[in-house]
Amino acid sequence: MLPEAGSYWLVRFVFRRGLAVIYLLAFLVAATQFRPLAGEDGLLPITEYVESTTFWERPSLFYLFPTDRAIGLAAWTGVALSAVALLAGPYWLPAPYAVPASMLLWLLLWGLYQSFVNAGRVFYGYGWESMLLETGFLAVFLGAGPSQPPVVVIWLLKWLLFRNMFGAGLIKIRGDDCWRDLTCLDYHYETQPIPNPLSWFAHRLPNRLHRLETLGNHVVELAVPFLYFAPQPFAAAAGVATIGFQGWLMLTGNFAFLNALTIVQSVTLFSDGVLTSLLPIAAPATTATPAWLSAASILLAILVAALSIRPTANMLSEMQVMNSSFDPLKLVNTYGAFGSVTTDRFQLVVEGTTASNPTEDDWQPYEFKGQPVRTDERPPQWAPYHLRLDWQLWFAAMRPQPGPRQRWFSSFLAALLNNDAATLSLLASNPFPDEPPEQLRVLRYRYRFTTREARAETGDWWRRERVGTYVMPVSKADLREGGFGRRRRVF
Amino acid sequence: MERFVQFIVAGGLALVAGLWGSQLTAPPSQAWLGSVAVVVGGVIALAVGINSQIEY
Repeated sequence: MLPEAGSYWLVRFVFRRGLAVIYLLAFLVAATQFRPLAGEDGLLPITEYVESTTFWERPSLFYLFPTDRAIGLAAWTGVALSAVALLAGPYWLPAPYAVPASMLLWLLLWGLYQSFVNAGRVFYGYGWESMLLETGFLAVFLGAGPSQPPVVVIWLLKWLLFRNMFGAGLIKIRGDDCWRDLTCLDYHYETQPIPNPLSWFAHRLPNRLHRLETLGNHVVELAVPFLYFAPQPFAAAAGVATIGFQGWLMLTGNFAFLNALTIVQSVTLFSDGVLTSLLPIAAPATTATPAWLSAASILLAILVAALSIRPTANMLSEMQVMNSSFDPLKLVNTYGAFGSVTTDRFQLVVEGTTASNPTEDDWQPYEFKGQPVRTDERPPQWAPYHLRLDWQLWFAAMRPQPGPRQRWFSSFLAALLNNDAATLSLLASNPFPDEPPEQLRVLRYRYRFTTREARAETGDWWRRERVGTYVMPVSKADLREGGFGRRRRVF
Repeated sequence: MERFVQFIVAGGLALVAGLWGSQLTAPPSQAWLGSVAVVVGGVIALAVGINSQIEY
């Protein structure tokens, strides 16, 4: 018998509002970025997705309707439905209709986002995408209105949070020596995908404090998750620890909506009694969970238990793989983050010129929204918003030249050579607003945070040194001669 | 499964079982004391498991 049955109305209310905010952000990202990245004329055209898979392998509305119009319609519908969820729409309905309306609403959100994740390919290949889907699917069964949520579903959400945190803890210990000798955070703040305004300061904390932070990371990710299943107030204490840990990560880096989603999941570690003692809110008079919803939640638990076998075996295996799904609908997945931490930060700087025979002074850089280019620019705050191109640029820069996962890069350069407005909308600046550049080149730099002294003297946040050329100068004529159009191999 | 994972998983499960046991029994009964002992054992196993991987 699970304890504290019937005391999660407020928990559900807070959890659902938080999840609605994340869905809202995720659909806004899809509305503004999916078409230039993966739409009809995207860097990875949607037709490639349709031709490379079957509907049952990667189910998506865009398999059936691979058009920008369908993508836009789905994204903005998702935004509207998320807003309805955020405003607790189903709660306005008479009690008998609230639960079915809520299930339909959350099922639609899940189905729409599933379509983006499965068609988004490398641009949607992040662990938090399947995590949002898994969280969103469980949210379907939480009920609504005055009735209590099924306690079983609250515990399934705890199980999801456990796999999220414990999986991340194990992959670190197994994945990189620096997590074992406690030196990872000497580098992480500088080399993470998209540093934020406080990353420089976190990087400059004493290394002794970084060691303590790393040890604390292991405790929060490997020991604390077991307390999620403990009675109150231990579960709530684990919730406070997890939320505090995620809050620190949010303060010191841009990890899209990963940390915010984990915080939302952590709400399930509280009970209404604990929440009312912590927050100035109170639960109204509630009714019992509808019998049919309780029955459905039991069936859901059986399904999740069955689908958990492979993710659990993976998590406990020495060959652990993080951020993998074992079923096409991504119902129960494995998670993890930063199984290895890079010690050097490499950056790609894309430069263009309108000169036919350019000198070194003729090249002008494009600026990105999240990735640093100028050394005097303070790292920006973007999370929980997700800059999908910038994340891929971070991965791309790890190699001296584009690899198989950077097929999109040649299309990216071709789009810049055509001053493609949709692609340029993903960037912070276009140095060629009047006419497109004649040529582009991509340089590879090593970026380091400045020292305290250098920052005080110059105001710079970064110093950099050129380490190579990622792409030699290319023109539209070069691309035409290559005969591949926007998909030409230019490297 | 590596030995440190065995320690952590066993310790974590013992911790949870002990905490539930201590809540469902009245102090200072033998059952309650036993639960507390299980909690302490769990915490020690967790600490040993994590500590075994750390290279100070």
